[in-house]
Amino acid sequence: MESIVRAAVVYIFLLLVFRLSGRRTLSEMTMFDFILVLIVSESVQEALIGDDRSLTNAGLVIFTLVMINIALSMLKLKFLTLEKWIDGRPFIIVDQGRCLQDRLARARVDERDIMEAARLDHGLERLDQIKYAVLERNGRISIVPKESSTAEQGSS
Amino acid sequence: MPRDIDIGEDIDHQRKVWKLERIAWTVMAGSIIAAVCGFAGHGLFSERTVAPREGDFIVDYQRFERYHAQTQLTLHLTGDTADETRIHFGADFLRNVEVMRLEPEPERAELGANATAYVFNTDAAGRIVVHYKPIVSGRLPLVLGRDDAPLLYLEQFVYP
Repeated sequence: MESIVRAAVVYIFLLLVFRLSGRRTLSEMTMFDFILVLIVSESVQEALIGDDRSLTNAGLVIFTLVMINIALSMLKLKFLTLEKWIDGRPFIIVDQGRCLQDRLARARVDERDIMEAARLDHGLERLDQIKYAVLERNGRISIVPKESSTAEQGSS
Repeated sequence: MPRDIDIGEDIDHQRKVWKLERIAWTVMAGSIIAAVCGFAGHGLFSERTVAPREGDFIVDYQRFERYHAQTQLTLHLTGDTADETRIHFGADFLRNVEVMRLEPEPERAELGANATAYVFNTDAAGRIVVHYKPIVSGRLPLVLGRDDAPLLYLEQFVYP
């Protein structure tokens, strides 16, 4: 019973911490993010398992975590407000080639992140070639190029 | 100007999330500062020294502890010391901790109804260190005493 409660508490705690640390924290994994994940998983391990290193306990913890995940995904489908709070909503950060600075600052994204996504996804070279850049729910930046810039790309 | 892209944006909600994020960061930073100050154990605000009027000893202990984390309390024996010193620990305390080690090793233990006495062979004022782990979380009654003096009632708080 204790391991089930522990697993549930740890799951909810981590969900809250990572949700409230901002969506950029674990999206584009830098070396520092990778180190963070490694250390967090190591610290959480003891809290999850405690002194009981039996297979039964490990199985119970895994079942609990998977079941919470399933229950949460079902609840998110049923209650859209819950989904909005847990997963967030995408929002525009570049509109017709113009950075929305207030949003960028709050989301801890800068122009270099946007241009990186623009180059990787569409081979764009300049900000004014971007029609919209959207910060997605998973923290990735998606790019909608201007039609003129796609024609430029096609003709070159 | 309305945008010709439908992504289900809700910027008002997003602003609330940003506000909540800032509050959460403040709470996290506050927790770290509180922990450094000792509110999570082993720091300035956690260390306590108590010298009861009767009993000829001083006890150093932590006000805050953590579940299953090894800790220690130290008794400094003062005054005249006989060949044997009995240190009593309340049953409530012993029931809720796992005693790992006593320094020095006691000669014997004497079981009582509400307390257990550890008998130490001492011929001089000295120091007794109890290494233990709390095995419950919440309030932990720390009841102890020396020889025939009245028991001292202290309390620790154990974080889960």
